[in-house]
Amino acid sequence: MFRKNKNRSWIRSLGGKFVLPIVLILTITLGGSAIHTYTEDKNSAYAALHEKINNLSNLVVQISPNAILSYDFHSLNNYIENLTQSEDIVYAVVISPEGDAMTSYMDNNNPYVSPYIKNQKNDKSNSIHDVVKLMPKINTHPDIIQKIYPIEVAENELGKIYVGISSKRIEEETRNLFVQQIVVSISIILLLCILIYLIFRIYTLRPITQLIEGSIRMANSNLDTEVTVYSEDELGILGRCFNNMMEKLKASNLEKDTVLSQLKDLNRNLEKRVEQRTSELIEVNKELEHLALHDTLTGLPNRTVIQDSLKHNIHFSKIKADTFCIFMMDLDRFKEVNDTLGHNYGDSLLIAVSERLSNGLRDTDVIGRLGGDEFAIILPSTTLDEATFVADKLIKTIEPVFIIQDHALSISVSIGISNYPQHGDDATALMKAADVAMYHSKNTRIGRSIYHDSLDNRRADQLNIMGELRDAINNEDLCLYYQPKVDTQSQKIIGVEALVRWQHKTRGLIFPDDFIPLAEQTGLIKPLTSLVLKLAIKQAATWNQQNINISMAVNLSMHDVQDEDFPKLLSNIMQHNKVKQVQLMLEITESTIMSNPVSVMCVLEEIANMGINLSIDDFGTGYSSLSNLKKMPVNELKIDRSFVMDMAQDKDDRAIVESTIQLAHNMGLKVVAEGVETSEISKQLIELNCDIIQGYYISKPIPVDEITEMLSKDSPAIENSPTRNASS
Amino acid sequence: MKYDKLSIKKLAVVLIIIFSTSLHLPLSANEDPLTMGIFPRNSAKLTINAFTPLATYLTQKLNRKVKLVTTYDFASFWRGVKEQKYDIVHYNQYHYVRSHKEYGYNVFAMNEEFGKSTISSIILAKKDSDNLTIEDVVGQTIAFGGGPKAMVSYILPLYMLGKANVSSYQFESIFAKNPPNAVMALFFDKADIAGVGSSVPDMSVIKNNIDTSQLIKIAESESIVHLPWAVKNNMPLELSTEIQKLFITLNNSTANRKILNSAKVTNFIVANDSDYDRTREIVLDVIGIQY
Repeated sequence: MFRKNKNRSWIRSLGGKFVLPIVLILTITLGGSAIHTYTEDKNSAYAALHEKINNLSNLVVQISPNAILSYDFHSLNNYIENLTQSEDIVYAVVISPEGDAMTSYMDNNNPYVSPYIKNQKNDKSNSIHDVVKLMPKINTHPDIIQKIYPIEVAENELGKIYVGISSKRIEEETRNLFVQQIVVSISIILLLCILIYLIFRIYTLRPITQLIEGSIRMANSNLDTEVTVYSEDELGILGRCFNNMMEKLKASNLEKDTVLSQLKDLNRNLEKRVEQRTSELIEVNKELEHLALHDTLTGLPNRTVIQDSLKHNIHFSKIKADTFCIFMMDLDRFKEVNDTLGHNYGDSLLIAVSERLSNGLRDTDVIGRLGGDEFAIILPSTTLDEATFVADKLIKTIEPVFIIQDHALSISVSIGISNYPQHGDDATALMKAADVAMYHSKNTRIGRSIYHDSLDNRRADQLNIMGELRDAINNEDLCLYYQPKVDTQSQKIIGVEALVRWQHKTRGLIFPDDFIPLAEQTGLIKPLTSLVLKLAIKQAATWNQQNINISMAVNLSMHDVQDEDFPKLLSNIMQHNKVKQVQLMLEITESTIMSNPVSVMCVLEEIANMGINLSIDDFGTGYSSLSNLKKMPVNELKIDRSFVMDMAQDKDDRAIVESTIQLAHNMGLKVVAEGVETSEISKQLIELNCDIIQGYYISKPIPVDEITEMLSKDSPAIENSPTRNASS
Repeated sequence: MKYDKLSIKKLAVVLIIIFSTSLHLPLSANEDPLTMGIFPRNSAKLTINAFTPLATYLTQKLNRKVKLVTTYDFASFWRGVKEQKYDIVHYNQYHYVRSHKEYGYNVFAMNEEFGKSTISSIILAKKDSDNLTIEDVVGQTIAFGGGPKAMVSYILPLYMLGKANVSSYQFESIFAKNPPNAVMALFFDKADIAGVGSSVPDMSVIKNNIDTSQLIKIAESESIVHLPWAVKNNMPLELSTEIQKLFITLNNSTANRKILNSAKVTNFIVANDSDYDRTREIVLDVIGIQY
């Protein structure tokens, strides 16, 4: 801002600009006066000198003739000596008209003379010299003025007095006077200038300085100190105007400060909010980053992290010539949990499983969730033997029952193991190998398996099957086998369950477990169901024409009951084959119903409204609630074979079967026990008032010709039950 | 003004002398003061300065005021002699023999200068001139000191020139104010030759004013007795004897020797009238008058 420039030249200041012209004027005036006085004094001094010398010389001129005429050279010399004693006279010599000196006196001590004196004697002031020769030498000195006075008597010249006058004294005196006058003049100038400057400073500079300091204070935002006003003249008025201006500026600044303060507060709040938002954004970014790299449900790393980790391990294993293993793992029957108890249970189960798995691993191991119930685990620096041990350990870890929201859930896992570098040297190959091994474990229910090339071939084989299945469906190359359902009271076959079989050209008969899951995965389940219904209803119509009126049970998949168009499809098929609605029994698994009870209920009610009977298949494994069951438009329950098959040895299973029968009866439903493989079980079921039994004890699923023959006999089915075929 | 001051000084000196001598008049107030006249051998100033101590001494010793008197020139001085104004007089040898005969002055002492009681005349010329022998003065201008009554500076040189067969008609004579001025006239080329007493070139007034080394003595006369001191003929014998005694005893004391020094003499010695007979012979030879 503004500040005093202390280095500023005084000459450029206002005081300097005011005083310097005065100094100049005074210097010119007094200097001119001094020079004039000096000149006048000098001229006067010279005039006085000349007058004095003239007087003295003329006196000598007057008295000299007597001495000359009387040859009184001694007196003449004395006259000259006396004349020379006079101040300013350097020498005086009387020269005859012939040019000869008539006096010899010369003051040898005179500073103008002494330099030219040879053999000067200290004790003799008047050594004799040739004054005629000496005189011109002395005259060469610039101070010397020579004057000549003739000595005459009656117009006869007796000689001349040559007088050498020194102007030094006059010059010095006038110069000293000049110097004195200059000193006095300078003193006067200084005094006057100081006085003028002091007056100027008091009456002009001081108010101006006040204004300058006030301006500096104003520039430095100091508006509290007013400018001192010393007078009522123009500068005083200016000072008052300045103070007024400062007051107004102060008020303006106050207002501005208030606004600025408000702005600062707003800015501070804005900054705080920005900071807060930034912090939130950072958190969100962290979360997003976490979400991008982790599974939101379990918090485990996701597929991206697993793949990166895999690449990382491959890289370092290559460098260190190390080995590591990968697990691909999914939960068995997790889909049923999800379908039966709902996704909340499934999610909770996944969380619990991930915790157990994580706890069963080393810190260096990496576990991630790839999606659904599929997990991947990377075991750095691990051989296949060590990996097998870890897999077994994890399987055991998962074995204990999970308590999820008061439900005890038992679940198992299938693990596929691959090894770097044995089964691949890139992430894709290793994951694919582990995946193939996992499917092998799942399909064979052996818990865990290590990848080998044959597994990969099998998987390729499965893919081939998928293509052939599509063709088979389109070409209706599939056939139905029928397993009879026997009424325990009449012991007659009252119905059959249609079970699809694929008579492959080269592979032979293929059972549903080998292609139904594939059909579900690839979307072929819908045309497959449609085909099965079509074949079953067509067969029922055929049997009706043969006067065989039994119920035809067909299994529906979850996809069917979740398809709103399914009832329409069903209706079209039935109308096309003219089958009574009551003859058709559609079986839906308990878990299918519980996967989405509301939508399934809608479809089921529509089907029921069509007069078609409904049965709940595999009851006891789907965790259905009684309240839901109560609302279901079903006609029967089919107790899951897992309870039935062991009920003869397992009291718990018998109790479950018994209570299920009682429950169903209480709800007005008929009960079917499937998986009846022995007479003992048959007897116990009869004792428990089970309405219908089904199983190998009665008959394995048999082709249409055989079942048709069986139905044609119209004999008790239990007694004539065929020999059990364990291989069915 | 300087000149005025000098004149005033001179006047003051004279007055002081007069006043101082009068102060020391113890004495017989009724007796007239004695006048001691000194001839203008030098300037009046030098003369007064030189003999004031002697006058003072005599005043004290004689218990009678001794008034010192000198004149500007020889003519004025001789008028004082002629009028017998001087009780004690100091002049040249010619003055004495004439005043003795004409006015009865009696010699009682004479100067001893530079240790000598006699004096001779010399003929001087400038070294750079052609006048290197006494015969060379013929046709030249000779400066003499003091005038035709000067003994050593005129009469004796003329006597010497006469002895050398140089007649006064064979040269031009000019008379300087006093003998030193004659030498100075020679020096300042106002004369070709100077005839003066032999002691003149050694006088301080000469040595201080001119370069005597430029001068050459081409002839010297015989010596005659030195300058006399005489008393008026009517002076009582006791007084004249007392005065003589005071003169000749000055050299006896150191204090009084200063008086001698001031008077530029080495002593005063007793002189008798007969001591100046040779002077009378020379004067007779030159002027033709027997004194």
